[in-house]
Amino acid sequence: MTSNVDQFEEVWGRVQAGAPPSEALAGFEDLEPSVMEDVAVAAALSQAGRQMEVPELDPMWQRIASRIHHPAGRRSSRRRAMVLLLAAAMLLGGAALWAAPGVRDGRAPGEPSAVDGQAAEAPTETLDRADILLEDLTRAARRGSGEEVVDLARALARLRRHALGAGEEVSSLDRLIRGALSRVLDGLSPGLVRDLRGILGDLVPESQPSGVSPSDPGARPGGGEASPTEDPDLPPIPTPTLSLPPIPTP
Amino acid sequence: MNEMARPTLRLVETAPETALRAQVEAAVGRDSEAFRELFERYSPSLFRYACARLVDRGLAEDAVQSVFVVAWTRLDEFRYETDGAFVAWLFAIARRVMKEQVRRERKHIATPMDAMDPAVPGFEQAVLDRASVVDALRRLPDGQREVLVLRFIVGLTRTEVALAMGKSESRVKELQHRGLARLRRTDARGDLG
Repeated sequence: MTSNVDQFEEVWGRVQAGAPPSEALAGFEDLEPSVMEDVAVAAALSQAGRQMEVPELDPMWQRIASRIHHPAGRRSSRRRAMVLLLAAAMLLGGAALWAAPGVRDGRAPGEPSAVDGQAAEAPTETLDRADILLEDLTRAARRGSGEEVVDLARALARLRRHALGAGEEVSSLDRLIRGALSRVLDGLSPGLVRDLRGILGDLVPESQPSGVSPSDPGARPGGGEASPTEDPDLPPIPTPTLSLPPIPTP
Repeated sequence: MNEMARPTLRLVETAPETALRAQVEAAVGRDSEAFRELFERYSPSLFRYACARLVDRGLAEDAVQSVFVVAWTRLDEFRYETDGAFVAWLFAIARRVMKEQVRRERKHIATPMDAMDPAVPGFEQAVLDRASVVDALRRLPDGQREVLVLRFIVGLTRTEVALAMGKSESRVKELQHRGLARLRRTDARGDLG
């Protein structure tokens, strides 16, 4: 014998498929009134959902695009400049070494070469994703949402593991994580800090009684200024209102 | 009650699973165009869910944006193991985001009343009006309300609801049955309509 719940599912499935009333009820001549009423309630809820006016998607997408790509835009020019400077320095240094007799094979272990030089810098992609996770973590910490902070810390740990697994150099990622955590740590409970240490290990700095000075070298890779979203006076989730062009396909 | 419902369409866009899988996998590979297509496919249902949980449309829009930003950031954690897994994953993120929003706002608000036309035409009108249903929905226990919102306002399947909520299908079935029964009894007492 079919239960009321199963009868409901069968009738509701037919209703969802667009069956006219006569077909939806076919074979259910002895349908319990309560099942009919459940279908009516479900239909009213469904109708309520359908009649919610969904906002324009394009402006919403523009704001999402700015949030997922703006960190790249904000940071990449600085990072690109740093990479170019580093590359120039390496070229000059390499040329000098090459020119010096007897030192052509004297490259120190870990010094970038034409082969392994690509792994010297963590890809922008990794740093940008860490940036987003850290912004979310900062907001969650300010809201006092320990569960979310832990969840985001785990995501950061996974990101770092993946980066290491891919052979990326993670020192700039580590500096980014340490810098962001140092700014929120004092507001977290000792238990939560302990949890974070369990997840991120020594990437969680010791608590600092008076915060971190802007000149803290660990605050940002390259010592850059904090992003506007890290200003504690701003609301928890600022939403960009500028209409930006669609994000380019990478 | 003696009439049957007018045709009702599923609210979440469906797509052949192979096409969806290709789209998701492209997005996992950081293809932002593929991600945009996923946004276009799922944002209307996520917006309905957000509206059913939050105070106003502005907050709901913010929440939907947050869901997609988080999804983009964590796409590489997603594994396409079963049909419906992606929508369930998105809604699991949405549940977390909404929970945080609700906690922050300290308000549990059902569908914003200004987003609805109070009169429900046709079959549903014989039973109750939509504003009353949504109002009654607000008073349900969390689990029952969540299941009814995801299942009927958003339009997920029972399997997708179970995956999104991290519960078994039988538990979802039970919560749905109890929630509908409670709304039905509320109607019978004349609290609706």
